[in-house]
Amino acid sequence: MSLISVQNFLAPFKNPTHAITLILVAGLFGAYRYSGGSITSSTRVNGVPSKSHVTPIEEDIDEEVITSDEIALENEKSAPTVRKSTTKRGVLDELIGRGKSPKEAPAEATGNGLDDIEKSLGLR
Amino acid sequence: MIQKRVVITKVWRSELSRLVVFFILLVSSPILSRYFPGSIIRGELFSIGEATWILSLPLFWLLPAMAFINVTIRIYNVRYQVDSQGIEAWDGILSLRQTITKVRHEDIRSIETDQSLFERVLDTGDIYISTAATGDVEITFKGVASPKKLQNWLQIERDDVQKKSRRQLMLEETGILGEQKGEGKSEGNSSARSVAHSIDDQIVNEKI
Repeated sequence: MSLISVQNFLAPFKNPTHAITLILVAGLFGAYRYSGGSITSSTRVNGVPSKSHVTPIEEDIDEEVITSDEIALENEKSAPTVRKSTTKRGVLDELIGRGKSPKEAPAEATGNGLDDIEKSLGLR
Repeated sequence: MIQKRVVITKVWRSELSRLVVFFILLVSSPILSRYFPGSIIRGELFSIGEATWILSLPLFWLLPAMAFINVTIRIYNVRYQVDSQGIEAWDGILSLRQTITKVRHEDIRSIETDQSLFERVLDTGDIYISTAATGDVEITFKGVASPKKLQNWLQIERDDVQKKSRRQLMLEETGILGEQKGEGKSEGNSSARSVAHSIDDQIVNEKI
């Protein structure tokens, strides 16, 4: 009889003891996955982890989309610069300064800031 | 007489209390992990080149895992074999120390079964095999299925082997006696044959 035979694959299922062991192992694995367990791989490009490295909590944030009303409300409250991002993660990136170019932000800030100071001092 | 080797293993239902504990822990581990998300630890397993393998391990899941290992060791740690020679018990297959006990069918003195009320419902139990050599129990079949059937089968097997050996012994004795009396070889053989027939008749009568 050859080694690769259907009989060899079916043998564990014919023995009830082994069959129950396999069912219990499957149940245990199901519980592991349902409890939040996982084994994932991520590739680093120039030291930065790829998308697969993102934690489940970060994934949840990405999935939540902010409505246009919320964006308008935030714009009214805060700085005159208009946010283009529609996701919480994008907002987070903008706050950290990850998405913006480093030169652009200080130029806007200095212009507006000076005007405000001059107005408040009564120079204009 | 059995020609092949028969392997008897411990059955899962003989460890029912531990299985119940395992299932309770199995159900409770996802619930507890949801209530306590901090119990899920996360860390790098290993890195191969640019690829990194990350493990998320829910600590509450270790409880059913340990219960499962405990039951599995109890099931697969023992193994019993019955062949034409006798009975063999392997204890400690998964342990560092392994004990193998062999008993020939001829040496078996008594075969006893032990079942609790719950085990009788589930048709499982223990079988104690003692020999004439020692007063104590030589081999214990723990948590086997249908212990009464197994006991009857082992007793029949023992009786057959004992009768066969007795027959062989008597044939040898008769042959020796015939030679000692100075009778011819053919006469000795014919007397041995007649003794063998009488023993066979006796065996049949005993069975009836």
